[in-house]
Amino acid sequence: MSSAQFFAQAWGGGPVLPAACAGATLVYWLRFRRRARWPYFLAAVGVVLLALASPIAALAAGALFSAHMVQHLFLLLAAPALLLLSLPGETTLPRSAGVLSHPLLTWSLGVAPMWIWHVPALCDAATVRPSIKAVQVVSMLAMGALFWWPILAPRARDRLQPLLGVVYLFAACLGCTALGMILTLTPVEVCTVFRNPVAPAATASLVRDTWGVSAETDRQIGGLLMWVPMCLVYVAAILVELRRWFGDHELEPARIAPEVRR
Amino acid sequence: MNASTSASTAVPPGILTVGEHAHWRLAWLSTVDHKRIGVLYLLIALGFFVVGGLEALFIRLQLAVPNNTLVGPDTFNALFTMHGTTMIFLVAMPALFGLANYFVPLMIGARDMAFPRLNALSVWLLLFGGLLLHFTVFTGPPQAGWFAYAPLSETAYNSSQGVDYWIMALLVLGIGSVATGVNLIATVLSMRAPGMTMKRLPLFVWINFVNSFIVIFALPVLNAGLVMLLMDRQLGTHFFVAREGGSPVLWQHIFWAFGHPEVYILALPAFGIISEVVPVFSRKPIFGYEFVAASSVAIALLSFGVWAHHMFTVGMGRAADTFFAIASMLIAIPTGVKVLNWSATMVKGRLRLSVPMLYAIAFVIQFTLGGLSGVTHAEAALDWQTKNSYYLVAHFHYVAVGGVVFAILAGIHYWFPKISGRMLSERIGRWGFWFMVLGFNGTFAIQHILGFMGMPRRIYTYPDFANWGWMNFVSTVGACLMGVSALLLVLNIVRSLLRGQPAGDNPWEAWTLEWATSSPPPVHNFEALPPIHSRRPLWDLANPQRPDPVVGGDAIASPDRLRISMWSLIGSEAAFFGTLILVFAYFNISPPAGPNAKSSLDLTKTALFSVCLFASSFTLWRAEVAEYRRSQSGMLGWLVLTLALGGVFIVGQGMEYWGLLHGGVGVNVNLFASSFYLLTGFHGFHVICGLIALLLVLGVAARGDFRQGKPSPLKSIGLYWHFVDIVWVFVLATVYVLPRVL
Amino acid sequence: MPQQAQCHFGRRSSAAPRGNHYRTLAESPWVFRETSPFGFGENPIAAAFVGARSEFIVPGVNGASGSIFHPQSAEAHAIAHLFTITLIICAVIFAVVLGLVVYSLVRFRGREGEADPEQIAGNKKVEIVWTIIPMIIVGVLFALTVQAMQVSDPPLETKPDLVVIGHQWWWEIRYPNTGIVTANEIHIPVGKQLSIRLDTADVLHEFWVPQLTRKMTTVPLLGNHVWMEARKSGVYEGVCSEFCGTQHAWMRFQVVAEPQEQYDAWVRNQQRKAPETATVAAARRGWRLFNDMTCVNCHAIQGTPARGTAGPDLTHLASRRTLGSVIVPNTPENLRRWLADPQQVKPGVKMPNFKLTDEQVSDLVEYLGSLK
Repeated sequence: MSSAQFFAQAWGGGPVLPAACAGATLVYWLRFRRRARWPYFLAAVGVVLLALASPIAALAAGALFSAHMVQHLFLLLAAPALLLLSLPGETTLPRSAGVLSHPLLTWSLGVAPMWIWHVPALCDAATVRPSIKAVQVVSMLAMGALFWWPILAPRARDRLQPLLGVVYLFAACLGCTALGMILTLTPVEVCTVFRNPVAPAATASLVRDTWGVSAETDRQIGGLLMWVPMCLVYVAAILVELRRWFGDHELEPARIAPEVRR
Repeated sequence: MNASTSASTAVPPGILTVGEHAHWRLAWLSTVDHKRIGVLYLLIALGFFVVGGLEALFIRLQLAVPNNTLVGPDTFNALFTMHGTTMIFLVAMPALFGLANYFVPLMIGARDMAFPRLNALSVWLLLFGGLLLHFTVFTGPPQAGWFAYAPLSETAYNSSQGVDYWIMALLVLGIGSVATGVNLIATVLSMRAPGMTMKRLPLFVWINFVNSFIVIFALPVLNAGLVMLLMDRQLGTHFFVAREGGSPVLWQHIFWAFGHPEVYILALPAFGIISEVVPVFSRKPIFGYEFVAASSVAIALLSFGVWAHHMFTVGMGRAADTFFAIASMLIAIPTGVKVLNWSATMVKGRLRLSVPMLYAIAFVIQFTLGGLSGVTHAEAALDWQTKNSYYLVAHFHYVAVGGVVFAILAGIHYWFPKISGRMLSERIGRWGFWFMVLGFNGTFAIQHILGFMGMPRRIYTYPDFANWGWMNFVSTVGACLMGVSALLLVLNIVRSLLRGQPAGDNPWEAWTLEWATSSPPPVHNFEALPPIHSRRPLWDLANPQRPDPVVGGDAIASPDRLRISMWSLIGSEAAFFGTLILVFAYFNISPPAGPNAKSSLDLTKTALFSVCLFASSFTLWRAEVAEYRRSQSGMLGWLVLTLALGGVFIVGQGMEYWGLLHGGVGVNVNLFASSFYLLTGFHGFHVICGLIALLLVLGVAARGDFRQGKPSPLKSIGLYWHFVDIVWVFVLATVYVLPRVL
Repeated sequence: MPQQAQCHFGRRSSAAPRGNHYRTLAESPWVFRETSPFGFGENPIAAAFVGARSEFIVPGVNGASGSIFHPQSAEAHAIAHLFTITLIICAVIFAVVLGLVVYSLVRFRGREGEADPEQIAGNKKVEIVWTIIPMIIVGVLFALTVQAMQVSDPPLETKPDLVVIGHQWWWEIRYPNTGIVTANEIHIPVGKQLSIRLDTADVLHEFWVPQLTRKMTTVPLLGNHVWMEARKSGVYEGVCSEFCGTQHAWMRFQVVAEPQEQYDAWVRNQQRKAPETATVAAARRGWRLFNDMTCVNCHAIQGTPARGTAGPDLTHLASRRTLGSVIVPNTPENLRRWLADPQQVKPGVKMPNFKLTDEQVSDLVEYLGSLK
C-alpha cells in the first residue's frame, strides 16, 4: 500500500461515531437554538472526527504510537476547549456539578488521563479493545472539558482569576512535561503493542518500511508530542489569560483620575 | 575648613546618614536597608567584573596571535572557566539583582523589601559564594568550562579540588538567588503602595516579578545536578559516568534545563531596564505596554521548554532536534515583538540622547543582532555547523554583553543620580560609551566570521590559518578598548561621588515613583506618595491637563507576605524534588544490575512509618485549628504529637538506611542505590528542617507569645510541612510502589 | 613558496618554539601534495560574507582553514544553503529595526526646552501585524530547516565505513572493512558517501569537518554517527569542537580526500605490516629501544609485538602528514623534538618525557621514520 492510497482509504470509524456526533449536534441545537455558536461546535466535532475517523485513528490503532498521542492531544485538549467555547455566554454548570469545578480537582482530572491511560496495561487494552477505547475517548473528552472549565467557562465569574489561571496552566504544562520527558529520554515502553504492531500488516509495513519510522523513533516522537506541542497549547492559553487580564480595564470607559483633575 | 567638616564632606551624600560616621563599618555590614543592599550587590558585581574582565583580557591577549605562548593550556582553561562562571553568577546576576533590590521597592512605593533580613542574607551569601569560587586560586582552579560537562568534570579527568569548590560556590549562589527570587515575589505581591495595582506596575517591576519565577524554578534544577556531580566526585557514585551505567547526557539535560532559563534570568531584567529608559528619553510612554508585559511571560514560559537546543549535536535523534528547533524558534516571536515595541516607542518621540539612552539604543541594535544569530542556532541544521564555534561565542556575547551588559550600563547611568544624589559626567560617559560600542563590536562582530571559518571555542591557541591571525588580533584590540571603557566608568563614578553636580529629585523628568523622592532617598524611602491611578503617576502629576488614562480599578490586594513567600519556596522546592524524582525514574525504569527497588526495599515497613508522616499532617492541621481557637494547651498537644510522628518517620528512615548499609547497599553500589539515597536523603533532610522549625514554634508557643495579635508563623510552616508530606507521596509511589507494579 | 608571500597580520616573525607547520609543511619530505585549487564556494553572497578571496586556496596545504560556506559535500552544502537564506532574512529584519531606530534618531531628535510629544501608548493592529509576520517567517524557516536536516543527516542504515574514536587529545581512526588503524588523518576516496561511527575512549569530544559534514559529539556508548563525503580531492581541516581538557586546542585532524586509485594505493600501503627487521642499523637499535622501553605499553605497531592501545597506532607513522594531532608537520626534525620532550611540543600531552639521550632519540627517529 502506498502512502497516498492509505491516506485516501483510511477514513471512517464504524457506525457508532457518526451517530454519536449527530446525536450531540442535535442535543446542542435543541439546547441552544439561536444562541448556538456553530463555528466552535462544528470545529469541536471536526476535531473529534479527525481524531477518531481519519488516518490518524487508523495509525493509532496499533501502528504508530505517535499517532495515538496526536489522538490524545485532540481529545483531551483541542476538542474539549472548543466545546466550552461553543457554549453561549451565560451557560453555567448544573448545581450538582458545582463541586466538580473546584480548580484543584479539575486540574487533577485534566492531568490524570495522560498518566492513567499510559499505564502499560491500560494503554495496550485501549489500543486493542474497542470497548475500552470508547471509555478512554469519553473520559478524555469529559475530563478535558472539566480541566478547561476554570479557564474557558462562558461566564467570567466561573473562571479563575487570570493570574491564578496562569499558575493553573503552567502547572498542567509541568505535569505533562514530566511524562513527556520520561517517554522521550528513557527506554520505558508504555504501549507494548506498538513495538510489534497489531494493526493490519499493510499499515504496519507502511509505517516501518515505507516511512522508515522505527519503534524507537516513534516512541520518542510520542513523548515529544506530549512534551512540546502540548505545552505550547498551555502557553498559548496563558497568553489568552494575560490578554483577558490586561484587557479587563479597557471595558471601562477611560476616566480621569479625580485627584489629578483637580 | 577644619578637620571635622572636611571629614564629613568627604563622604558623599547617601553613603552614610547623619550619626553613622562613628560606626560606618557596621552601618553597611549590618544593614537590612534594601537600598544599601542594592548598592552592596552593585559593588560586589563591580569587584568581580574587574576580576572577570581581567580574565577576559588575558584570554584575548593569549589569542591575539597564532601559536601564542603567553599563558599555558591549563591556565587558559582555568581562565575561561572562571571568566564564564564569574561573569554570569558574580557579575550579571548580582548587578541585576542589585538594581532590582534598589528600585523594585521604590518603584512600587514600598518602604523596603518584604523580608529585609533575608535580603541581607542573600547578598552575603553572594559574597561568600564568590569568595568560595575564588578560593580555588589556592587549590587549583576548575578547568571544566562553565557548564562542566561530565565526564570531563568528574574526578577521573579533573582531579584537583577546583571543581568541588566550583560546585559548592554555585550551590551557595543558587540558594542565595532563590532567596532573592522569593523575596522579590513577596515584595511585588504584598508591599505595593495604595493604587499601585498589578496592572500599573512599571515594566521594570513587572519583568523582575516574572523573572523571579524563573529564578525560583530554574536554580533548584541546577542545585540538584550539582549535588549529583558532587556525589560523583566525593562519594564515588556514577550518575554521569557512562561505563558505570550513568549518563553524561543527563548532566547536559539537567544543566541546560537550568542553563537556558538562566539566559533569560539575565536577559529579562535587562529588557526591564530598557523598557524604562527608552520611554523616558523618548518622552513617550512605552509602545504597547501589555504586549511587552505579556511577551515577557511568554519568554519566561518558553525558556523552560527549549533547553535541548543546547544539545543538538549530542545525538538526541532527529525527532528531538526537530521539536526543540521549532520550540526555540518560537522564542524569536515574543522577543521580536519587544524589539519592535522599543523601536516604535522612539518613533514620533523627542529623543534626548543622554548617556543612558545611548546605551539603550545600542542595546536595541546589538541585541537584535544577537537575537537573530540566536535564530540561526535554533535552526538545528545550522547549529550542527556552528555550535561550539566562535560564531556561538559571538552570538552569546552579543546577547550577554551587547544586550545585558549594555542594559546594566544604561541602568547604572540612568539611576546613579538617584542612588548617589550626584550626576555622572555626560562627557566622560559619552567617551565611555563610544569606547564600549567600538570595543564590543570590534571584539565580537569578527568572531562570527572566525566561527564560519571553523574556529572552535575554548582553544588556547590556534594554527596560523589564512585570516585567523589578523581577525583574532582585531578582536583582542576590541577587548582592550572595552577595558578602557570600564576604566572610564569607574573614573566617572569616583569623580561624580567627589564633585558631581547635585542631581535633584528627578533629573531626567521621569515618571515612575523612584523619582518622587529625594536623591538619595531617605531610609524610609518616601515622605509622601503621589496619587497613583495610571502607570506613570509622575506624568499625571506634571501634566494635569493631559493625564494618562486610568488603568483598572484602584483596589489593591496585598496577600500575606509570609504565605506568599512560603508558596514560592514550595514551588522552588517542588522543582528540586521534581528533578530528583525524574532522575530516580530515569535510572530505575529499567533496573540497573545489582540491588534494585524491588529486591532491596521493604514496602511494608516503609508504609508503616509513612502513615506516621501522613498522620502528622493531620495533627499539624489540628494544631492550627487549636491556635485559631486560641487554645494554647490544644495547640501544644497537637504540636508535640506532630513532632513525635515526624520523629518516628525519621527514625524509621534511619533504620531503613542502617539495614541497607549493612546489607551492602552503599551509596556507590549502583545507580539504584545512588538515586535512592539522593532522593530519600533530601526528603529526610527536609523533614528534619521541618521538625526544627516546628520545635522553634513549639518553644515560642510554650511561652504563650502567640495570642498577642501577631500573625502566627504556624500557618506558613504548616504549608511547608504539608508540602514535605505530599512530596513523600510521590517518593513513595516512585521509589517503593511503582517498581513493584511495573 | 607562494603561500609565504601572503603575510598575515599577527603572524609571529621569529620561528615559534613549536614551529608553524603551515609555513614549513611544503618543505616536509613526507608531505602529500594537492594543488587543485577551489573556485569560489557555491554561494557568492556567503563567500563575500566570510571575506574569502577568489584565489581561495586548498586548505591544509596553503593554510586556509576551510569555511562552512565552501561546502564540499551534500551534507555541508545543504546547511550552507540554508544558512545563506537565513542570513538574508535576518539581514532584512535587522535592516527594518535599524531603519526604525535611525529614522527616529534623525527625524525625532528632541531639542532643548521642547514640550513632550503626543503620548501614544500603542496600537493593537500594528502589534498584531508584527506578531504575525515573525510567526510566518519562523514557519518558513522551520520548514526549510526540516528539509536541510533531512539532507545533512540522513539516517544510518549500513554498518560504518569508518570508526572514529576520540582520545584525550588525538583521534583514532579505524577502517572496519580493511582493518586499517591510523590516527589524526582520515583518508577517503573522493565522491563516496561514507558513514562514520563516533566513539570516545574518555570524555566527550566533538567531530567537526566544516566543509564536509555536520558536527557531532562523541558520547560513550551512544553510537553517534555522521555521514561524510568530499566532492573534490584535497586536504580538509577537522577539529574537536567540544572542550575536552588541557590540549583541546590541539585535537585537530585532517581529512585527505583522494581519487579512488590514489586512495586504493594508500589502503594497500596501510595494510602492509611493519617489517620484522629493519635494514639500517640505527633503525634496528631504534626498534629495540621501542620494544625494551615502555613505548609498547601505549603504542601498537602491526607485525611486531607492540600492541598498546592507549596511544596512536604507529604502524605507518612515517606516512602521516603531521605529529601530535596536527600540531607540527611530520618531519624527522619535529619527530626528534617530540621524542626529546613531548611536553615541550604539546604541553600536557599524555606521553611523558622519557628523558632519552640524543643517541636514543636519533635511533628512534630512524626506526619510526622507516614505518612508511
